[in-house]
Amino acid sequence: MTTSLTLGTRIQRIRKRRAVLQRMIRTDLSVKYEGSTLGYFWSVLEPLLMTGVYWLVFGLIGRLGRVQPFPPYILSGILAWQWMSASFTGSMRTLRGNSKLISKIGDLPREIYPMQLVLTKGIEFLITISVLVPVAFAFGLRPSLYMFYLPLAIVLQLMLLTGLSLGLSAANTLLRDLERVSRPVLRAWFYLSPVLYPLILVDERASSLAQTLYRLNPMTGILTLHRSAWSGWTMRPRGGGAVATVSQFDSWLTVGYSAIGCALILVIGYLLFTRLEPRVLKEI
Amino acid sequence: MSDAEQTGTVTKDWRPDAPPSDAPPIIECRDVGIWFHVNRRRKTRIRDHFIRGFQKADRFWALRNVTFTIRKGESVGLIGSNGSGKSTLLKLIAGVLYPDEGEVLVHGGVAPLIELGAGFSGDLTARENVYLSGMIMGLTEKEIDARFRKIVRFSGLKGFMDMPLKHFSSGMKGRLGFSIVAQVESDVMLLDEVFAVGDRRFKRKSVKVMEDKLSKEGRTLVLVSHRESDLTRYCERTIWLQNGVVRADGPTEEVLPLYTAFQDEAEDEE
Repeated sequence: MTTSLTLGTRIQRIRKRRAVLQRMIRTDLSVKYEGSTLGYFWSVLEPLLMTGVYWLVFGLIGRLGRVQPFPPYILSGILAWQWMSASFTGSMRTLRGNSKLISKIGDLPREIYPMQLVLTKGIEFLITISVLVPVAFAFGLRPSLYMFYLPLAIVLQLMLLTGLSLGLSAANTLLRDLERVSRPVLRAWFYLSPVLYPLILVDERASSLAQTLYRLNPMTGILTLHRSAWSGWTMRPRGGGAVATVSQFDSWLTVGYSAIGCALILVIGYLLFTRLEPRVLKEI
Repeated sequence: MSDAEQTGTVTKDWRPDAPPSDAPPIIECRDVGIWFHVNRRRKTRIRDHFIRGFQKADRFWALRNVTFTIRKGESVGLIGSNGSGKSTLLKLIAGVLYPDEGEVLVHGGVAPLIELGAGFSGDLTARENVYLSGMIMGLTEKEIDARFRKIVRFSGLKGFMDMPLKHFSSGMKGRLGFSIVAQVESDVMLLDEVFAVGDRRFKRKSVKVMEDKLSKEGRTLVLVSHRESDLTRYCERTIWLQNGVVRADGPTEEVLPLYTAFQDEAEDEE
């Protein structure tokens, strides 16, 4: 049978070549942000414009914006979601796109290619999140005591995306129409996650089973953590009435569900990648 | 390009000494087999998996029951007609393919299949590309720092190092790629044909570099080639593959005539 590598040796192999990974990420970033200020400008313009559109459609016309202030609420969700969606769709091509390297360089662990994408997009997330600070302040939000939830959110999201990209990069090499399915799946996932609306909205309407299922979506807990870093959120209760101050932190149970989901996807993605690797190498 | 042109002025009896017979094994292939799908349109769609399932009939064994050991310091040639599995075998040794049967063990430094310009990116400058490509092929950043001037001098591209690579001609890219490869040290060298890039002068220079590398003590070479002159020149041992199995394995002087006779025979039959 094939010479299968254990998890330990795989991690060791990646650690040994981490300088290459760093160099590849730096290359991606420098290409993107070349002429630095303009590159940065474009990278924050898109989420800002998207925020504007959603604010207009859902906040002003659709009256969905029960969380106030609505713009920073959407923006923080969109920024986190961008990292997710860019990694999700991009990972489909990481192995095929690097086929020239993969078919020649045997001692570079193949995990590096999807990891390169997720980490590059993660750093882009950290760069673009800077635009949230002035927007949050402008709308009256202040950094909360729970700023440390943000690193936790990032760690969970990193686990989730690493698992996703490992699994998808390998699977899409063998089943190319996966890429076509991915767009509607991603769109559904977007609306099934509290990006544009708060978690409370679901809790008000859904059965307790549905509430639990909703929380099994790893992005649910991650997004609540992203929002809890800021204080000053208010909410109009259902059916109108006085505006109440409300924390975006739901509960540790929600975070726990999310953490379990992230860990599961990481394990499944890793197993899928290692199981499919010999066949992927043949197809590439 | 003729053989004489490629090998240039180097002496005729060039060939590294055979290693002592007790040299440790560095590459071991045990009962190695690997298959590919026969159909060119592979089952890459979900529908096909349902319709045809996991049939085994459309498997084609590119290599089967291949067993041999290469000792440290040996220079081994791989020969065989097109589609006999030479390049597949080289890829298995390089670790860019995994066998479906048996095992391939490479002790010590795992070799990258030498590729000119591995990881080159047109948006980066030549300088940045030297670092990126060098590191992908296994050099550390410090090693590249130390060898950077050598690389530039060898490539003859001084003055172009801060130019984006997309403005380079393909010849210049080849020269830069080769100059980086020339700095990569590995216990095992795997070559799919002796290659040479650039103009005649650069070709001669590059062949000389490869030969210098080969003549280093303990260096192991596996060379895939159709050119008999290259095999006699570089390899004291040759493995002849035919339809994925080893037909002969022995001193180049003995295996080459067998292979040539076989080819002549096949030609006569046509």
